[in-house]
Amino acid sequence: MQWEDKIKSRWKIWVTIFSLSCFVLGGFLVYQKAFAQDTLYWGRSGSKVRAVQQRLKDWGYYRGPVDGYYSGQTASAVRKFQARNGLQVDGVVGPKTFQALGLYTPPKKTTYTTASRGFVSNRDSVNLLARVIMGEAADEPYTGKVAVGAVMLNRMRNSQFPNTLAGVVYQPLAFESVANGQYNRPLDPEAIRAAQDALSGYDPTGGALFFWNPSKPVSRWIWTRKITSQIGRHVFAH
Amino acid sequence: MKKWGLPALVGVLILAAVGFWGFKEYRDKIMLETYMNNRYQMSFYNLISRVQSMEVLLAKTLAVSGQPDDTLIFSEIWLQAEGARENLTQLPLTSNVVARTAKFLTQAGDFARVKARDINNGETVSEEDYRTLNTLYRQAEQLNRELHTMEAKVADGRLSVSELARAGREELRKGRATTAAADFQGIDRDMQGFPTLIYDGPFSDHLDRAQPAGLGDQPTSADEARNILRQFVDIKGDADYRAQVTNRIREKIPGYQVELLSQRGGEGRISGSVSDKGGHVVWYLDSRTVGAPRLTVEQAVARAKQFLDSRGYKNMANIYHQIQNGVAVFNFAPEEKGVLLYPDQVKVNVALDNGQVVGFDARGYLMAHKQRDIPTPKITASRAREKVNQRMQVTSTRLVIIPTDSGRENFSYEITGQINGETFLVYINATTGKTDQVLKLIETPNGTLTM
Repeated sequence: MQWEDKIKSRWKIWVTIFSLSCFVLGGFLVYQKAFAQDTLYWGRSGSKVRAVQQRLKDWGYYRGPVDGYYSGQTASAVRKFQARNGLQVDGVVGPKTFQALGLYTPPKKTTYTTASRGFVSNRDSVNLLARVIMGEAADEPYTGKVAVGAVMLNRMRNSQFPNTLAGVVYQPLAFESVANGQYNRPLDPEAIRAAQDALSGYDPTGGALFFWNPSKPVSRWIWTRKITSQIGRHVFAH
Repeated sequence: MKKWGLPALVGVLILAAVGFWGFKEYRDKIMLETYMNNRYQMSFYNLISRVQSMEVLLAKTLAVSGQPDDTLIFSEIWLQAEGARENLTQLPLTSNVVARTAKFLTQAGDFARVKARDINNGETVSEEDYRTLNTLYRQAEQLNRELHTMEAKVADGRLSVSELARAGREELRKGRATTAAADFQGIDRDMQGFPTLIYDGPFSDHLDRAQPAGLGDQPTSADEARNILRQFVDIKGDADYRAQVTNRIREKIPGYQVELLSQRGGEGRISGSVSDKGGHVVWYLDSRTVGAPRLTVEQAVARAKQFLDSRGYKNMANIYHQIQNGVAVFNFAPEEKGVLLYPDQVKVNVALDNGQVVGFDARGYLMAHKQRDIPTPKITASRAREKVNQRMQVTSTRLVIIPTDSGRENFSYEITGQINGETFLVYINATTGKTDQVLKLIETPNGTLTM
């Protein structure tokens, strides 16, 4: 009898643990979806929270410390602010509350420069190249970034590769960061500058078609290529 | 019993929900995978049909006599070949597996394009051209046959494109070669038998062998290279840089990779390379961030010119420029006896915040610059002007040397003019009177470019 009881209670514990974890998992998924945007709520921290706290303090809604941590005190200040400004009172700083706080930064509009007639722009190439540079060489020195951009452009002009930039970038199995989506990270100004320098013709590699990091596993055949130079952590080869 | 009846019910419900969610995810994954494989299959089947078209068209070229109306056949080979290359490079195969096949497709297409142009210019198809076309035809036939063998395997289910994709990803991750792509590898090996192809186009094999013309032979030591770059770079104020050779470079212009690291006063680092022969600075780039622009473009041009003058690049004319992120990029070409030498270009980046030259590139100049015998034009400037569209209002005419895509040089008249408010540069060959090239001038607030 005692054994049976034990088994029963164990069963109960397992079921409880299982259902709890399911709840947590499910809740987490819903939570992620709902708050995937830049929304601030209880428990969040960072520079945006600090900005909100500063603004609320300046306007007299908040008396706590400006520490970048979204505490209960912050939430109640936000609620007060929302009630006063005719917003939905939920203690969460969403786009509308951001806007009311004057902290909303509208997405940057890109202006295209057009000639008197016709439309020609290399912005598409700069963006595409900068993204691959971000994905493949974010931690490399500046020259290493230009070099990765130059390899893309050298491939485009080579008979053994696709003849468009997009063809080169999206060639299956060509670049790891494109395959795993890492190249979609936000761009930093240095990557954009490196892309522009590469597009205007700078080539620190002298015509290289391949690059790899020697400390990572790579196909054996790649070592049969003629190495031209090493920049940062990358080896460049013909 | 009753005590845990409710939790069990809740648990079962949740289990069902999670199960449903998991099933949905799985179904979505299968759908996406099927979609991907269908894309790959499409590329594969398009490749086969295009290579087949190439084979037939190449066979036809052996039957024609090379009259102007035959150019259509040659142009279509180019179209099919480029399409086939695109399909091939979209298959989930690593670049070493398809390299030679891709090269064959590119060269066959490019050769056909050049022949179409030549026939249009009134040239005949020579005996040697027919031999080359025959080789290309045999090669295309072989490729077509092998692709059809492979297609049979795919249709039987003995070879699956999705298998290739999976194996390829594996290979990338672990760095181990797999045998999944063996069929393609076999094709690529057979392509090795294809002879080098020398003709008048951009993918001709002779371009791989091009050597720099403007270096000189004086060998340079690493220590000299270090000092050459330090003295060459444009440094503002009292910044002090320590120069250091970081690597040898084994490219077309072999030399030393040199880094300048700031000791005091300077921000960031300057990297560049110095050629082994002649000790020329091939290029350098300063990685510092550039502040808000304070200089006008005119001031920047003057700075760039002064920089080039003091570094031994005399008589350089600014041909076009572009402004990006507070840096003006100027392209200069030398002028000799009133003739502008477009092949010998140098690039100078001027930071618009303080006028410092933050980038320099002389690769074009060092590859092309040589003692040139500038010929006297066979046709007059007014004859050349008659060749351009009569609706174009000509604003200027000058003699220039322009590079061709096959690595040669043409002696031409550059006729600048306007049609409908847009500016064009038309190049009329000063020897033959034929149109070598037409460029459109693109003027934006951020600079002037040609395309």
